[in-house]
Amino acid sequence: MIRKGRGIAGCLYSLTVPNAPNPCTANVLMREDGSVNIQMGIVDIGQGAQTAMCMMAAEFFTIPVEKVRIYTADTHATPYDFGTLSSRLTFVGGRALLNACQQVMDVLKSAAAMQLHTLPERLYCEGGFLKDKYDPAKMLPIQAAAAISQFVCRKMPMGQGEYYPFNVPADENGCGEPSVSYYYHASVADVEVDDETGVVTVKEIWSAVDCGKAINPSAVVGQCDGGTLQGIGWALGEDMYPYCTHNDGPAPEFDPDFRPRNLSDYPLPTTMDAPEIHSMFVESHDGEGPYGAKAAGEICANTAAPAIVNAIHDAVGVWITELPATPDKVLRAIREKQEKEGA
Amino acid sequence: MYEKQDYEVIGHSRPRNDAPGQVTGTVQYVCDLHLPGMLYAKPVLSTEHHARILSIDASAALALPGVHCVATSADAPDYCYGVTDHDTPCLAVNKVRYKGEMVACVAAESYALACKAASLVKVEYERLPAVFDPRDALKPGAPVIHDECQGTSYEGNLLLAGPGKTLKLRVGDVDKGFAESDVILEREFCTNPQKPLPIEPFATLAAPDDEGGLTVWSTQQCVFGIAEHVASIVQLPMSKVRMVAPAVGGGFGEKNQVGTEPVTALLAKLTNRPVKLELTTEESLMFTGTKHPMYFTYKLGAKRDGTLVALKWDCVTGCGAYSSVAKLISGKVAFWGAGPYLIPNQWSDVKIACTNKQIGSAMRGFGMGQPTFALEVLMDMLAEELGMDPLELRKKNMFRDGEHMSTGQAIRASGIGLCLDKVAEASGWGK
Repeated sequence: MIRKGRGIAGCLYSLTVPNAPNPCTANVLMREDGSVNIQMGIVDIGQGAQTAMCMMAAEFFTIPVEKVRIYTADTHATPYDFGTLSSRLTFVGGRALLNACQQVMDVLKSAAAMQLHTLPERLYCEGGFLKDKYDPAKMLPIQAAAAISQFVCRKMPMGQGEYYPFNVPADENGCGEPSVSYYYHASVADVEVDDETGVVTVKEIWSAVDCGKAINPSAVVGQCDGGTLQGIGWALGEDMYPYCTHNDGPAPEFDPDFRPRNLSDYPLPTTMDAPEIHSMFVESHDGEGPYGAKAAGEICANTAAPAIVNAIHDAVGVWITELPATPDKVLRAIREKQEKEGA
Repeated sequence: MYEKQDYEVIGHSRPRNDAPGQVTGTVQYVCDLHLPGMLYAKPVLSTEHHARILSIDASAALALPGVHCVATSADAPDYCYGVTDHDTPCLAVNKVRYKGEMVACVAAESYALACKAASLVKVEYERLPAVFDPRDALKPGAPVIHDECQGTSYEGNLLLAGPGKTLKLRVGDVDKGFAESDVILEREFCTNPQKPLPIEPFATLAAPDDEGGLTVWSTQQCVFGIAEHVASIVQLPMSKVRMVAPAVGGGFGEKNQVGTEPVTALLAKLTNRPVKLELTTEESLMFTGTKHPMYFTYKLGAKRDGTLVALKWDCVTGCGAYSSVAKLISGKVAFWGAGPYLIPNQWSDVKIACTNKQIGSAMRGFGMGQPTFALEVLMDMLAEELGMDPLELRKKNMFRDGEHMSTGQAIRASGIGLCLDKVAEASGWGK
């Protein structure tokens, strides 16, 4: 018989590397046509860090994103970054980038002030122009300021920004401020459990990440979708050292050679296995990150498994305490429960 | 920083800026890179879980025309790499510690030739007793996996972490907390070694440059960190090792550890030719790491009204054959195993045990997936025991701004309540 259940789970995650210095450096240059080149040692592994950096620079200079190019991940041509890990790139890289952008802006304002016969500190940037706060007649396109700086002042509008996320390493009792900031996630999972076969099917899952200000919402939702599916795989089958089990056979045996040799042996969920995933985000206000951003990458893989296991309990009244919740394990737990109740 | 009310660009969804290149196939991954005179590499992986290497006979492989080199540990400097402990050789030295460890690597004129040559490399092993469950690995009499680093990195199979050999958290007084609790639950949990499995397996192209240095293109999440290890293996200053990550087809954490880089760089140095090593999916499954399996005992004490009073957790982390990131992962388990909940009394103890399984790798969720599983299921067990709604129990105890988390750090911008409310509302929780 198919039984339905629902479960919930939450999680926190330290963004940036705990207890360790993990800085990032960014170089930013504005060209004479107002386009921007970014150099960073970061690696985009598919999560969309390059796009996020271009968006932040475009926001800063009030120019179209298409005018921003980014060059990354070359130890001889790009400045230092600690690595694509610990959900740190948007946060740490973004701060380094904005620090560099601010330096470029200072150069642009000097050039524009000279041209407009005003003072740099009277200027602000809006809609692709540098404008005088007190004299609306005085304004200059940002690319004109860049060209004047380069060709008249002979000063390239360049900046190098760094950011060191703050931390106080934990002492031997775990006391300290290991990470500069934290982000959060929660899931609700709806499952169906076949109590005659032990097969668990996730029907629908709601997944919400607290990413601070979402720089690129579709990328955040993408992280949430992918992390959730990876979490489902972890919960229900992915195991590099599985036990040999049979539904009605003897107790499971461990055989270290019983290992997946190819993807055909390894139950990696495909899109065909994906339930309806409702990915969402909430935006808590953390003053530290660039434009208020926190992170979205890693945490999304963490709450699907407990939410599913809690939903299995809601459905059939058994607790699966050893992952993954494979059909043999679920069925064994159901049978044990039935025997106990029968006796 | 720089927060505003209205943004022109930020907060408006847009496609990735490399989307056109991805869709039209112009993006270059390592497998798309080819250089004149490039050799193809093929690894020879251990077929044993734990064994002494008695001999490696590469004569038949080297006799094939077009085979340039069969590198073994004899060709590598006496250098072990690692994130916290330098215990991992570039190619297995004297013994293998997991099935899939790289023992030798061939460089030849074509990939087919390299495959043929690799199949002709004869490795003679003397099988040693192996241990797979990290709890068994810590028992007296368990086969010792790392003979060399005893006393420095390991004691038996225990990876020495922190001043007292294990990683800890001590907050308040848990014994007092349990004495004051109305309900105490104690349960065991364990988690499975999932594979990160990015769609693109590890691949590296290493080429000698005109100045005696090397350029290394690789599937890396962490170019600067890995360049250090490559430089040590090829015995060059870091300034002579240029590390580049072209387009990378996912990583999920496994690519911020050393993969195919050192051995490919070594082959390029030995042959003075560009060398490319691309792992197949089969090789990747055997050679690269997994999420750390963890074994927990969690004990939770609460008041009848659902207020959490004390939490104690013991964990044994299985780090596999080499230490890699196990200490960093386990530190997170020790600090934040209480999740996003306010619990005045906390006690944790996390041991790390080496086994003859694949190396524990960084993986998405780094050290928080495993304790989250245990704690969040335990929270539901408590809710059942108390007859409380699981959401209500969580919201009663969740982080609130201005309070302090386990490490004593002040909580700000806590979004756990926002997340719980969002999923509860969207799913119609309780309706």
